[in-house]
Amino acid sequence: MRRRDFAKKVGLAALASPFLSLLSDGPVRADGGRAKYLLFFFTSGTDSARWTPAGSTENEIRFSAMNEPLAAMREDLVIVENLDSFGTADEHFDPGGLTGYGMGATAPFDSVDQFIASRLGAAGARTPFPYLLLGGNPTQTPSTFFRGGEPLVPIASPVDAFNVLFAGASLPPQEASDLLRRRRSTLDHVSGELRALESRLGPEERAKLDLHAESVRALEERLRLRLDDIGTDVAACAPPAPADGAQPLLDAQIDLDLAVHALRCDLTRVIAVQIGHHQRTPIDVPEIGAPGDWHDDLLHGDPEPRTRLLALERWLASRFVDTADALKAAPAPDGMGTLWDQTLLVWARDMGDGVIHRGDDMRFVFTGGAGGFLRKSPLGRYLDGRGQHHQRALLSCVEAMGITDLSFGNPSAGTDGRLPLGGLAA
Amino acid sequence: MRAWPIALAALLAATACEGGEGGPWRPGNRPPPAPGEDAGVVVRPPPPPRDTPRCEPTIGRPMLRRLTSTQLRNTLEDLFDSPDVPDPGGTLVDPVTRGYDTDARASIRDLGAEQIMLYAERVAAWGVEERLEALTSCTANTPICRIQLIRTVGRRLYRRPIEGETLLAYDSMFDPDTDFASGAEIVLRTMLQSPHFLYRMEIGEPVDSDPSRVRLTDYELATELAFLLTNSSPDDELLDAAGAGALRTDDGLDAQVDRLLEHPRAPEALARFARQWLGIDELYDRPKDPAAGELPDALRASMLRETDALFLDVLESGGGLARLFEARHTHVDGRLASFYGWPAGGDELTRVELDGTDRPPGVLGHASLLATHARADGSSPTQRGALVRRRILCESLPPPPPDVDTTLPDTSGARTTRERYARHSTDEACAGCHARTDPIGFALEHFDGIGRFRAEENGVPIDDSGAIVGTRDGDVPLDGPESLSGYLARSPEARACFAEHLAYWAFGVEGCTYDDLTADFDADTPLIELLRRLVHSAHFRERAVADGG
Repeated sequence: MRRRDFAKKVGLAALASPFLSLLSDGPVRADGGRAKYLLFFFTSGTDSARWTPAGSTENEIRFSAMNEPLAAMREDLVIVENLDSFGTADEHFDPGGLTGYGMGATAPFDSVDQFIASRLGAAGARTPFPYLLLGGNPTQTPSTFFRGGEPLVPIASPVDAFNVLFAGASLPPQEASDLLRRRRSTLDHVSGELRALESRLGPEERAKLDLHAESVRALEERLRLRLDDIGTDVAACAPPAPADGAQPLLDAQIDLDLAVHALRCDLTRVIAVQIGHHQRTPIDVPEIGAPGDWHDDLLHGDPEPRTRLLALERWLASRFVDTADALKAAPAPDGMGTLWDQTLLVWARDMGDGVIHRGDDMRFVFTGGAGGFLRKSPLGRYLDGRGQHHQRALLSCVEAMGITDLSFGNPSAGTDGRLPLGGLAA
Repeated sequence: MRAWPIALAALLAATACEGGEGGPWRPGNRPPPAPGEDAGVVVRPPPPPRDTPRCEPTIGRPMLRRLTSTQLRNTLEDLFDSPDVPDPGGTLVDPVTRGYDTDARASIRDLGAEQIMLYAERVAAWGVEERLEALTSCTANTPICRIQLIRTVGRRLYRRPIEGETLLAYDSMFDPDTDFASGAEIVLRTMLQSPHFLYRMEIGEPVDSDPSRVRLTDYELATELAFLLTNSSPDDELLDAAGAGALRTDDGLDAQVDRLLEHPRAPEALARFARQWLGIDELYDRPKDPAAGELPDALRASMLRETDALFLDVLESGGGLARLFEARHTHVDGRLASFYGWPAGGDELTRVELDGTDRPPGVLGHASLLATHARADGSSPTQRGALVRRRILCESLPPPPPDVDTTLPDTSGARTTRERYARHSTDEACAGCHARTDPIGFALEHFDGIGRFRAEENGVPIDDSGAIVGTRDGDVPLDGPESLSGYLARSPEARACFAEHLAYWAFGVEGCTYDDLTADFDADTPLIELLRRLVHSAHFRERAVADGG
């Protein structure tokens, strides 16, 4: 939205508001520090009217019943609401929540996790995994995370995630070294077969094999890194092997714990945990109420006063607090304080109001020590986005990670939508 | 800002948020707004009647098709002749497109190679430890034993003979200083990560008379046939037939089709299509409120068995689509019989004649379908109507308009589901869409959210009258499930839709690959005949080369 359009929308009187400084054409830069780690807590849209902490001000959050569990960490929270996706996140299936691109986009767009991971990699971040995507529901079509316009599939099973991240971590050095060398030898053979096969294929099938070959190359690189790191005590930061949670919601809860451990081991800098799926998430958790499906029964089948959706949102808020607590309890891999100190934890959603299918009231919850990036207030901070493009919140994540390349997002958002949020950074 | 200040129940929400049936999801395939579509209610008329439900035939390109997770597991179970192969879990995640797990665009990317590596290592270690004797009886670390193992396992995993450099490369993986089992484990885990194992090749070879096409090779054809009819790799007999060139003739192909239809894996493979077509493969993922009825997993399994059995029975008995909708018998195990209120038997399936019972004929009366397409706390005429429109008639339904509260409204005063839904279908904001779904679902209202028969709801006798609006014959009144089944049994649109679904399930590609199926396809055309047509169709045996070379 152009500045004059925005002015029309919010009314000319608002032009005098300090918020309009957010729309200045110059980049808004954080004077504070930067986060080293980014953890996305990603969920479906909610009932905006019930979730919003009505009466909040920039210096005080007044929690609603839906998000009251967040009050336990109010001094660390910055809630931003009333951001507009401008049609990119109006429906459950829309890809805009983490991308800024709507349904119908043909550009090879990335979600913000991918953009950040690629920029960190280009800047020399040396971790075994450039990013991790966990959670979701494997029986449903993915539409949250994207690279090059193609949806990415999170690892849904905590057991699978654990195996990828930590299996073999406790092997004695010589055994680990032998295993890694054997694996590299096998992958050499596989790479050779992939190359030979590609020469027989048309462009579309070659592209498919290119993805596979890239996956093998990345694995070879991880193995090389692990060989270099033989002797470091990854086992000390690995969690016990989990069991699957039997339903997507509980799987995601385990994933959040794995995510914290992965950061604690410095296995990656960027993790997103998708909690449930926007179309099919069976929920059978006693504290949430009678079994039901998140989409069918809680968003669209829970009559006023939406007691089950209320209970679900409170459950989610509690898991968000748990994750923050786990970050606070974990030492940072570099020994400089805790993970909390170095992590930006963000609760983002696929849309604004999931009950009535609206994307013009997007909301984010920012927290974490984040290297001092966030400006905080003892009673919490609440920022009214006043209809700015929600892409700005995603750009704030980019900025918080110390990335100066702010080319992320949908160019059609205009200049206003291509800047980080003002007022968020310290 | 809000166009609908009073929350209205756009009851399409439960299924209409899915983005329609317009093909695999990716940004870009939402249909553009129709003229007049704006804020508010979107009313899209049903497609015009199709006198000839045919399409312009297309033939796909050469391709690689990644194994599905089930195909991976089945192949390894067959290789080791054991059901105890380590579970692949999420090693391969299948994209679900149009409700099927067979999307030919499935790929391996990102952490996929690592997950496959870890799984291959588990399987290889398990296989050598537990089932080496199933692969070979020659276990000395000698050239003869090594080559025998590589040829045997390679033929089953590469789905063609392994010779030459490939054979030598695998032989070189054996260390002369270690035992045979160690080398066998390396060979196994390498083969299990090979693209020749993970992808089904449908690349083809040139056809002399037509440079614009390639013909699938004998082994590629054998592979396609095996995965279609058994959802697993070709067995030795099929590979032998391919090696002898027997699949190049119609008779040779038919002989293998006949044989594979008797294969122990065929029932599960074919029933899998029926489950995905009707969406009932999601039954286990449908939470149910115990207050509305308990639905333990064992009972869900029994429900699915019933639908599997009917579909397979229709196939085996030469029945057509009409019989699937109108069969006056079913097959139930003791658990489901008890649920239906019939005399309970044991675990085996028993044929039951439906006349004189409260279950309607055909698949629409199955609890699997009725429980899947329902809410957690009750039935859903909208979801059931949407099933018919989308999956059985291949019509698109728009997502609910923005700003409409799709939650069921205040129900005070409404004693039945029908009253609640009917009330809102008369509301202008909702009626347009609901007119296309709810009156179909009303015909199934004798069945609650878990598929139980009910004569009344809250003391009110069930009214199962309804309608299918906008058909080629105008609005068709319904009087209960039998009239709905009767309409679908004779609907040309339902037949064309079935053919389209069958072809997509088989090929995993968009486009009109199903035209060969629809010719002279009437209500009684045996469904098994459609499967044969599929095998003889152009896309099954040939592929188009874009530039003619």
